[in-house]
Amino acid sequence: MTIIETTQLTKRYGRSTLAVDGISFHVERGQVFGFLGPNGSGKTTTIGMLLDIINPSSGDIRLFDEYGRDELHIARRRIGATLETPNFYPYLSGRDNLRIVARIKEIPETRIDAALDAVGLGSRQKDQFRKYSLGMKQRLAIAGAMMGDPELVILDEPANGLDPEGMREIREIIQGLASDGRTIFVSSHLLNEVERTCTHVAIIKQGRIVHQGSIAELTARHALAVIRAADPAALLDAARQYPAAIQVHLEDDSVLVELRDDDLAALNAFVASRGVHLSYLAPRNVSLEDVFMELTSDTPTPSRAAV
Amino acid sequence: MSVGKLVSIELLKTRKRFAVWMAMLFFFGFFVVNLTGSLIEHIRHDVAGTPLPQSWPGIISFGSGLGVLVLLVTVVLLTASEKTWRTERQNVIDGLSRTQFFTAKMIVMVSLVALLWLGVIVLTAAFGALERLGEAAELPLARGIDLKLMGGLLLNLTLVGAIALFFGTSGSSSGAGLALAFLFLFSQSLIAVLMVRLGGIWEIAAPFLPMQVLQALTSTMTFDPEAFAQMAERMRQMEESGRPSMPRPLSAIEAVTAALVYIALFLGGAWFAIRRRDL
Repeated sequence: MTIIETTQLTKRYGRSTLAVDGISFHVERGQVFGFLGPNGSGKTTTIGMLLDIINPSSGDIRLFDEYGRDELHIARRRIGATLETPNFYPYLSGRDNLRIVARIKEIPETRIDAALDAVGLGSRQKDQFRKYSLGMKQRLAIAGAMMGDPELVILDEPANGLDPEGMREIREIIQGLASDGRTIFVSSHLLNEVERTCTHVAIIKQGRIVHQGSIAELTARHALAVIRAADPAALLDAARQYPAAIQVHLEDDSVLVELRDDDLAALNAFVASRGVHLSYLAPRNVSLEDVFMELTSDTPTPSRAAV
Repeated sequence: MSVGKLVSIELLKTRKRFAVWMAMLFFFGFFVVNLTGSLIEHIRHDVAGTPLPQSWPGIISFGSGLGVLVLLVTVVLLTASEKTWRTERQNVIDGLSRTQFFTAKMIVMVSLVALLWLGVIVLTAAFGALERLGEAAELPLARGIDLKLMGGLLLNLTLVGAIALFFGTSGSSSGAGLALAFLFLFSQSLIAVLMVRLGGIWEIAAPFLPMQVLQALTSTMTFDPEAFAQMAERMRQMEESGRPSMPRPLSAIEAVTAALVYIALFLGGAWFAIRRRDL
């Protein structure tokens, strides 16, 4: 079953700013879907349109196979979501804030204790929200999103600003939600986190989807070779002429070649034919970060990952 | 979602809001201290403290002035802060429709109006009755004109609430909403005089400015045909001798109709602001 489907979704601010430019993507039931893009690429605007807090300029949204204003409003009751920073009443306690959430979602307030315990805030439930740390605020937001036992969980930059411990906690919560069989839609620019938690991704750049698919498919698209020779400048020049090379970067004394195929022997033969003899040749696994940088950078950026 | 559910949500938000309690304390504290002082004076020195029904016009005018201030502050704060804290968007994300959010805020506004209005009427009647204890009352607690003024006060406070709701939903923050609302209301006395001096259509429109309508709703002249006729005659004589520098008084039907139209317009504007803008 398709949980989220957008068709040519567009958001324009004024005449000149096109925040989201006709994007179409779909999320299937049970996927942990990462929505990736640089800052300002249109991630939050897209999520805002899914949640009805931003009015689309054009395009269609289907949620749980429902469309139309009233049908979507009912369908959105099956979603738990947080957007950007956690938004609660600062003068109310964590518990009172969740009481408001429970009343809006029309669910029994007896679920509040379980929600607070699930995110480890049971002992701080009576403290005012304004006194919480950022990590605690994020966890309260997740508790609020989970209160209606949603089928779809949408989290916008849930690990933003957190320390490694906080990020680990959020990762565990997401993995826990996914293991319950829920569909998770998470936007982030923290690629390691996405690679560790998501099954599928869509990459958005300047308001347009530039790739969508499983992470396995995405990273398997390209091969990366690390090569060295006595004269790195000559090697770089030769590698740039190789027809199957997508991008070539110099990294310290090595040259990184991103290839359309995984035929390293052909690469070796090609540079040798240009009079450059390799002293080192090794394949390297392509990470989500490598692909992300390739798809979203206007200028090639050398990868700094370990060889 | 039922209205009862919306009320319970807004009660939860409001009951721990310090600013709301302070505003209510200011309003009722001022009133009770004022009335208590008059009562003590009456008991000790046997002078008229709050003699009813003669005191109603003054008290209603006082209640309106204080009510404008308190209502503007509380309704703008309760509405605009939802934008500052982005809880309005979170409420919608959690499942409240924009229409339900607007309805909830309208319920808050109407409740505050009812509370202030009832406060003015009940407290004044209670203190007035206390003053009459043991004395033979020749007049009832309230005359017909006083009842009309009470109705005028209710409309007056509802219009202020509607204006506050509009600026609370339209302003980018509580500060901006409050600044715009105060500027809107209190700049109108100057604008009204300017419009009268411009003459023609401007002069005709001047009495219908919201602030003029608000004042007319709590003025004895509006609801007393004799006083209204005398004022109209004075204005006519002033016009004959030159230009009047004040807008003409509104009749009761004009004031009530204009108030109802403004209430509908400001509430419609507030609903439109919530419905159309990105949260």
